[in-house]
This record gives sequence, structure tokens and C-alpha cells, in this order.
Amino acid sequence: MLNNEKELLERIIGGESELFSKVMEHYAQAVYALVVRIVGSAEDSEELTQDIFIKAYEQLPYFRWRSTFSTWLYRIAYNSAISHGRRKRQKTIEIDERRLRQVSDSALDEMEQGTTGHSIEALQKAIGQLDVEERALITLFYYEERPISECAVILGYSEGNVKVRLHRIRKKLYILITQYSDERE
Amino acid sequence: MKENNMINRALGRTHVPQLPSDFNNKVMARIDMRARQREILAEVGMWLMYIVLITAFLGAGGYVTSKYFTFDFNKIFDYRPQFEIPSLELDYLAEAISTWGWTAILMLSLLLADSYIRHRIRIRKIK
Repeated sequence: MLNNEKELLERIIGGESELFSKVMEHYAQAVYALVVRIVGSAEDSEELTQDIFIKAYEQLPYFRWRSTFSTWLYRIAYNSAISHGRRKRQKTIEIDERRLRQVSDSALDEMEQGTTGHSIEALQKAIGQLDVEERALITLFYYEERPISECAVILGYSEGNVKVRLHRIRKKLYILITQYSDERE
Repeated sequence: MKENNMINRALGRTHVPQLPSDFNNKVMARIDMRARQREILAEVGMWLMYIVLITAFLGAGGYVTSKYFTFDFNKIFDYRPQFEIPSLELDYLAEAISTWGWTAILMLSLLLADSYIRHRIRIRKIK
């Protein structure tokens, strides 16, 4: 969070638009990193990050402080990245519900602790196979270390829904890395 | 807490380049350009509205006059004061008022509409 963030944003709304550079200096790289992780392409992500900040600037007068500014900004970033991802129609893998149910919670914990023997490269490849919304959620929760409540606000879901989705994504990742390991053998 | 998590580590391996140093300038330039575009659009919109207003004003005026007034409309405009004050050329004054009166009312309404719309635009956009 920026020092005197509220005052700074109010001054920008009041007409001192050049101060928006300070907001970008503070948040641009973080937003860019999130977008790169969701979208996957650095070139597309730079333009998308520009669009996100332009949108944030134009929507600033309507920001009502119901959340922190960074949560609001991340919500814009998430929505823009998702729309971009949908337009690109990246190929994703659908996994049968029955197979998802077969994965135990202990197997998931082992996968996360790295005790299953699966390589990190396999996990990286599996993450690449997730759809944009799933990638966004795990990036926010795991990499950005945002709490469930904040993920829910950013993604526009209920907290319960976020937990369910996270659980499904972990199961999906487990199935995918197991598949890659089997293919190798 | 999550540093040792495999998912976190895998996500951390995604290479995120540094944003170019002129990123802020690019964004600010695009913001300025969009603001200018919006101003031009608003200006065009206002002129279109003026044309519609003038047409409506003249149309409505003409309709009301022809429908509800039976007197000779030209006589009103040709009105001359029946008294004369020495040294004041009231004839010319009355003529000027009758000729430009309607135009003045129209221009005044347009000016009021213009300042109102500009005020609305000003409070909607960030300067």
C-alpha cells in the first residue's frame, strides 16, 4: 500500500492527473506479474497492463473504498486478463468428475509438500494446462498469498466457492502431473 | 508460509520480465489521448444537440404561432412606440428589439444549455 494512498487518489480525482504515475510506480510491476502468470505471454501482458491502468484511471471517480485500492485494481486486472484469455481461446483440458473425486486429500497435501516425487517442471506444465480463471485463482492464492476473502472479492465469487474451486484445481493439477509422470515412464 | 509449497514454487518459475522504463509515460500519453478524443466527441455531440434544439425551437414556435395566434405576427415585429421622447431615437430601439428579440432568447437558451452540459461533463471526467 502507498503512503497516504487515500489522499493521493483523492488528489488524482480532483484533477492532479500527473500523480497517477506514483500509483503506477508502486503497482505496475505487481499487476504485470499477475497478468503474465494468468495470460502467459509477456508481450500481450504489457499492453494489457497498460489497458488495466487506463481503465483504473478512468474508473477512479467511481471507486468507493469498499475494498482496498489494491484489491480493486487486482479485480480490474483479473477481469481484463480473463477477457483476454477467453478471446485467445487457449486449449485447456477437461477432467472427468469421477476422476477428480478419486483423488484423496492426503495425495494433494503430498503433492504440495513435494513428497510425491513429481517434478516441479511437470507441475509447471500442468499449470499451463489450466484455464485462465483457474490460473488466476492459484496465482492470487499461492503466489500473491492473498487470503480467501480477498480472492473472493477479486474474483467476484463467494468465499465458499473460492475454497471449492481451489480444491478442484489442486485435484486437477494432481491428475495432470500424474499423467505426465506416467507418460514419461 | 507458502514458500515451500510446490504450486507456489512452480508459479514462481514463470519468467516475468521487468516493465520497460517508459511504461508510465506510455500510459499517461494514452490517457491524455483518450481524454482529448472524449472532448472532441463531446463537442461534436453538443453541436448536434444545438442543431436539434434550434430546429425544435423554430419548428415549435412556428407551429404554435400558426395554430393559436390569428393576429398578423409581422405586426408585432413592426411595432413602433406611439410616444416620442425628444433626443432618443426609440423607433430604432424598438426595431432592434423586435428584430433581434427572438434571436436573443434563442441564443440565451443555447448558452444556458451549453454551460449546463459543460458543467456536467466537467464533473464526470477527471481533468
